[in-house]
Amino acid sequence: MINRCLDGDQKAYYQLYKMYSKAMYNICHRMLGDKTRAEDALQEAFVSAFQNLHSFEGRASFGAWLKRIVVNTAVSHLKKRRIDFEEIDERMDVLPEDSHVGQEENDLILQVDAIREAIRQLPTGFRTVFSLYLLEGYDHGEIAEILDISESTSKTQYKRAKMKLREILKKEYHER
Amino acid sequence: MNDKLEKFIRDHRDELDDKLPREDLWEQIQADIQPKRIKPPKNRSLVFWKVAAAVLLLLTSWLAYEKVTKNFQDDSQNDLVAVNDQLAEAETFYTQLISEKKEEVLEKASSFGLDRDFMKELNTLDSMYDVLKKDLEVADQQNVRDAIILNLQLRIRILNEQLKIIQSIENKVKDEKIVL
Repeated sequence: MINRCLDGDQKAYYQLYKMYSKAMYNICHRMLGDKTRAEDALQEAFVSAFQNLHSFEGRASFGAWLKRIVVNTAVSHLKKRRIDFEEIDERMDVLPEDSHVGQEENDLILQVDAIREAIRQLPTGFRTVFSLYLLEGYDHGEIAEILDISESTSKTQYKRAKMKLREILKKEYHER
Repeated sequence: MNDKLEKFIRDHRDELDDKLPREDLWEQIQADIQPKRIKPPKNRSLVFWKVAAAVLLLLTSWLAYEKVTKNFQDDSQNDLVAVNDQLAEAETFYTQLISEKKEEVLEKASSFGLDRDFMKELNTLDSMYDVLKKDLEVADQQNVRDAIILNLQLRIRILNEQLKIIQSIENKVKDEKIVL
């Protein structure tokens, strides 16, 4: 398919877009938080990927290569808005042990809709690290590189994001 | 780190992707990747017109300068039409010819988007012509009559050169269309 694109086959481009646009769009949407910004980033990322298709070496899968372009584009859009990935909430400085949380979790009734909404409510920095780690499958080393932060910051941000997510879920649940 | 929340999210990963981009986004992307291929000829024709306009400008000024200095400085070389009584007749003939050619040149020049700098030369000659006519009223002299005819001839030559240039551009455009 990629070779067909490089040969100038318009249909092949469209097939690649069809195949990946939904997943890539959701990444953008989660990171940037709204429709217009997400569409702008998606457009930019696909155009850049198609124009640089010749540099895709096939070391990773095409999906992984494209995803990295999409993530980098979204991050650069976030940086334009001066989102600080190291925002630290003083009150949350002391992290509880995981075991503590384990018990609380039993109280939560987990639902996809509720989680989706709770992720949306996370502060941008948390949401980005959280999505990259848990949903897009990057490890903390990769996230550190993508966001230009230290690996330990990525780890702390992820833990805090998860705590915050639980908080939101609990609140949502009680409000129902 | 394998807690329940993480596990649940991992298990339902695909369900979290619920959004779709707007329908016409693909068309925008397609439009963005297309220009790469169409751009080069566009740029080339732009350069072509720039060069054509510059050449035209240079030719026009060179031509006007050459003719004016040559003809005014070297009277013996003039192959002027005998004037005396026929001055009025000659003027009518030339004026008509000038206005016809001017119309043709202007029409073609504007359809090609060409510079109209040669019009400055024509206008200068036009005002020189008015001055000569006044001189003639004051003193009826042969050299003034000669200058009037020369002025008219010069304008025709400029217009003829313009037509030649336009003709050559027309040919080039035809050639380019065939290549494209």
